[in-house]
Amino acid sequence: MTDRRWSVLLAFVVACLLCLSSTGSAQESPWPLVRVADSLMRGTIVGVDDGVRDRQLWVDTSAGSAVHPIVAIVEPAGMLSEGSALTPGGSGIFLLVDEAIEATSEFPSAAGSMLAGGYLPLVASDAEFEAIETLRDRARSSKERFGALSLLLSSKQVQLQLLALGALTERQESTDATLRGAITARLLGADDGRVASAVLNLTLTRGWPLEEIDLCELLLGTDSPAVSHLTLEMIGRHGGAVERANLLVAWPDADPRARLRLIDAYRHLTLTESLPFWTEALVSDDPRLVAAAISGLGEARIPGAEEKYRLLLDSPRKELQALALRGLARTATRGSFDLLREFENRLASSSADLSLKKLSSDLLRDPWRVLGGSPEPSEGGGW
Amino acid sequence: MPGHPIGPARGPLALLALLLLIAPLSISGCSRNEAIAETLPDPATVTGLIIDPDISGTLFQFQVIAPTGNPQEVTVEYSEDLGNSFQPATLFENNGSSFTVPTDGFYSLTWDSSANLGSEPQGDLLLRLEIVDTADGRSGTGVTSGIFSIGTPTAPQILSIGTPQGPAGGDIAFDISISDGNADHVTVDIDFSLDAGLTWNEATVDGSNAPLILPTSVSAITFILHWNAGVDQPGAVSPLARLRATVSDANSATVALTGIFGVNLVAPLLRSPTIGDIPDEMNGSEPFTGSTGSDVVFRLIVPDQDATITIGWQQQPGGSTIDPSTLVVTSTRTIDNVAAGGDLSSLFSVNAAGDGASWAITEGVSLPLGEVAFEARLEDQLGNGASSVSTTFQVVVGTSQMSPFDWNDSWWLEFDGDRTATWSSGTSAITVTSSIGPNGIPDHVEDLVVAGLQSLNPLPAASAAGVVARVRDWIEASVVDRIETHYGAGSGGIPGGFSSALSFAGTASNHTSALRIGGDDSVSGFVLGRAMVDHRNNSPNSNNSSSLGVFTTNLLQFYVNSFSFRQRFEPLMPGLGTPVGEHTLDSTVLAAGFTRSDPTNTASENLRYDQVWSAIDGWSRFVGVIASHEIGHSIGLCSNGAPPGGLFGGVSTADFAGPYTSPHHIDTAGLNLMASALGLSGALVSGTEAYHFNELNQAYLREWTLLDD
Repeated sequence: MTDRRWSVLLAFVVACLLCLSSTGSAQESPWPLVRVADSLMRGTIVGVDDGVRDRQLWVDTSAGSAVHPIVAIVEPAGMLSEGSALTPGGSGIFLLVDEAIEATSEFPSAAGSMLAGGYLPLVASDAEFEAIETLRDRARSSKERFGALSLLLSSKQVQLQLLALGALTERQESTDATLRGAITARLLGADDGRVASAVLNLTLTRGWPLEEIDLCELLLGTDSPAVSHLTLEMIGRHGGAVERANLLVAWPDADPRARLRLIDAYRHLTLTESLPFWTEALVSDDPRLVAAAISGLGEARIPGAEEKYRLLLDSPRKELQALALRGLARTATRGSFDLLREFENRLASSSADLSLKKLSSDLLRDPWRVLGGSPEPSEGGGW
Repeated sequence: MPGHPIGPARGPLALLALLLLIAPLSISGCSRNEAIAETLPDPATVTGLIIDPDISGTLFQFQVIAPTGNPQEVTVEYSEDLGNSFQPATLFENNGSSFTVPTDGFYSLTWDSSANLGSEPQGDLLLRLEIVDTADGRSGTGVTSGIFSIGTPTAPQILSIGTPQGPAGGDIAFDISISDGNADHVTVDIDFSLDAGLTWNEATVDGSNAPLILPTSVSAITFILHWNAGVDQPGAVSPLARLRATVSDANSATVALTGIFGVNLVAPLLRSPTIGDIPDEMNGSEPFTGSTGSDVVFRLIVPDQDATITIGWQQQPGGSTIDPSTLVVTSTRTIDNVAAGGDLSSLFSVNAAGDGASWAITEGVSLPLGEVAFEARLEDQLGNGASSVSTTFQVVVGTSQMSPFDWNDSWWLEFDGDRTATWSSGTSAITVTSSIGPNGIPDHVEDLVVAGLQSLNPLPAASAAGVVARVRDWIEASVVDRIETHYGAGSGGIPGGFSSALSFAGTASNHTSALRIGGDDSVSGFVLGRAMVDHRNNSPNSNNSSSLGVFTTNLLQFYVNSFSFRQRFEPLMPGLGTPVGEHTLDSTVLAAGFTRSDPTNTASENLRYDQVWSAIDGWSRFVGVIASHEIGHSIGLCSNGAPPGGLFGGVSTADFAGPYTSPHHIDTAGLNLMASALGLSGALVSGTEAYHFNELNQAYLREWTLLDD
């Protein structure tokens, strides 16, 4: 967001003339948007005026009181498809910015202007709305902020939970055991991946362990790949013998998706006790599991990995050889690079496939560039 | 013996009543024909049949109810094979097989069975009486007796019953050998038990749960029967299954049991025929929930050529191995000279994973235009059949107007734009600030400086080694690689991607469309990217204005203090680590000649190299996700509404739509590139669960499904 808050009328008009446009926004907590908004307004849309480019929303801000003050706000470029597509009846919190509406808007008499994406679809009580305002105000006491966080965390509405978690993540708000318990409870009860992801981001950012949670169950059971990814990070940082044991005993009953996650976990955590499962994965019927096992075998520091890679490199199947080469590069130890180099030399003196020769050379030179994967810096251990 | 009534005659009274009923209707203006049609009495019924069998003649009594009051002709037939066939019965009363009774009442007649039956005794006899109104010719409701015998027949015998070999499934074959001293037909009842015989249930055999009627002889006849176990107990697994056969004639019954055998009746799961890998809920095989809460039926548009039809299957937990050779695919239309209803499975190839089969419709074969339905069936190795599935497609000629990629759309990823200035401050909690207006430095480079992947003040040695420019090249190439990967490069045997008409480059030469990467959004907020929407990729799109493109400054402002960002970038971030070009090792490890696998490298050198590449990987992954999303909008993803006009953009009421569904966005299971919100943590997921276009979008990109206006 720029610190010059102005609307580029010309750009929108051009965009409007050419075509509609659409946006991608960040998936995590709406807290940063709430924080930067100049003001918040709670209400229900009772009317909409469509302009050529902008939209004007008529919002009933009575919030249950007998008086019904109607306020007009502008959604800049709301007629373009990046607009909120709001219709009468929609209730929530509108995030407003102080812009010079008269100069740029098709609706110069409106009382406020919405941020892009500045609409939170939720029904906030007076206390909840006040809690959000409390969090926005850095001058409020830590006790007040603490109370606000507790209230929002205990809400049943995902957006309010995410707001509290976002504020806790971004600002080093003080916490105690009660608040930590409320945060953990949000993870235990989360059937929404957004909340689970936000809790994990928060706890990882703050360096908190999550002792009350069965991390193995979360890793394997969540439908959200992002939650699974963050849970593995959590186990890597704070997991102990129990989590490792749980990961090992989970293998026999795991479904194909869970086995892929387990193989990734064994690799990430270098669980050498998982040797039997790697052997099983290597001969699995699931080609995705076979590929994951070959590429992760060395990185997991599995005993006997070198011998297995030697066998795979001798395979008549080119795709298995290529997977083995990638696995060796990903292992990134002196021994694995020696084996990779040995294979490259062997190919150089033969009429082998040129693509395998090139792959070997490229992997030796710039492994991470070729793999397009994340290196996990490690020079110790293994062959 | 003459037939005689044994009850009061009621015909005349009934007729009188009918006449009284008709009269007022005629007066009130109804036509006579209408009145008669509405008030005609029911046809006659024969009921209360009682049989008194005797070898010298079988007396039978019955009641006739004739509301018309007319005389009724009663025809008598007999069966000596338990009803498989009937022949006229000779009556003592008139040596014929029919007899006219004057009106309704109770009657008795005698069947001269010895004149009709070839042998006696018999235990498989039936009598059937039909009735016809002699006045109006209408047939009434007849009656058939229960099984009776004449003489004293011998009991039928079960000589053997075979035990099926377990584990068995589906339709389980077993043999039964029976005989009868009178060579009568017999009734065979089969029951099954899954608990070794503690409890029994009626079995469905050869498609019916009615008792079987089988012929016998005095010597053994062996029958092969099939217990339709999958119909009776779908999903059951038991090692203690058992069958019980009861063979009976009119007077007696014999029972025999099989041994105990195992059954596994877990059927495989078959997915509906689809295009590519589009799941059932998005391929038209089932409706979705519309905005009013009601079901909405839809059809995919498929070109008559160059599409791929796939049928997937899955072994259910506890189920047996699937037998792909049992796949049967039929269509409602003639395809490749196979008539409607014929088996098309020979056109399909089983995939490498063995969990589906596909038919790539290539040149030489075309789908017929209009609605075409495909149906599939499949069994596992035990014979358990999956429920048949079907899908209907709308087949059209893939015209140029409908095809989004009939022209080469070459995308320029503009990394060099300079529209904003960006800087960061702070040492622990980082604050990123920007201002609108060019400052002579590409916006993307400025954002990379905040992340530590570029430096505006590199060490002299690093400058001399060209480190900063090289890393920038690596980053830009990695972003392009990521976009190409999202668009299918290298996947599924299509090296060029889902569409060969799409290409991506970091240079402007010969481009048709453009996407700015870097800098801030001129609109307040934290939008990560914005692009034009272009239904069916109608024309080139230039997404490189101040409010269009990928806004990496917003990415930084939103994520710079998050765990995932710090995990990847902290070793390089200004104030927290050492930016690229400012580390003393950079002139070595980021130089042109550095080889990561060189055994003479120090651990520190390798560590620095890996840290830089970890950051490059993280940056390119997230920027690649956002860029692919925005490019998607400009080539038709995701047009609003359900097919055939849209790709479910904005259909938030569909039960498969996740929370990030809004106009031109659809959030389906997993990490979907066209969800309305994207996350850094998700972008760092690699492997099979990484960000991807959903299967419907992939089919659109391959032009396997088309959109109408």
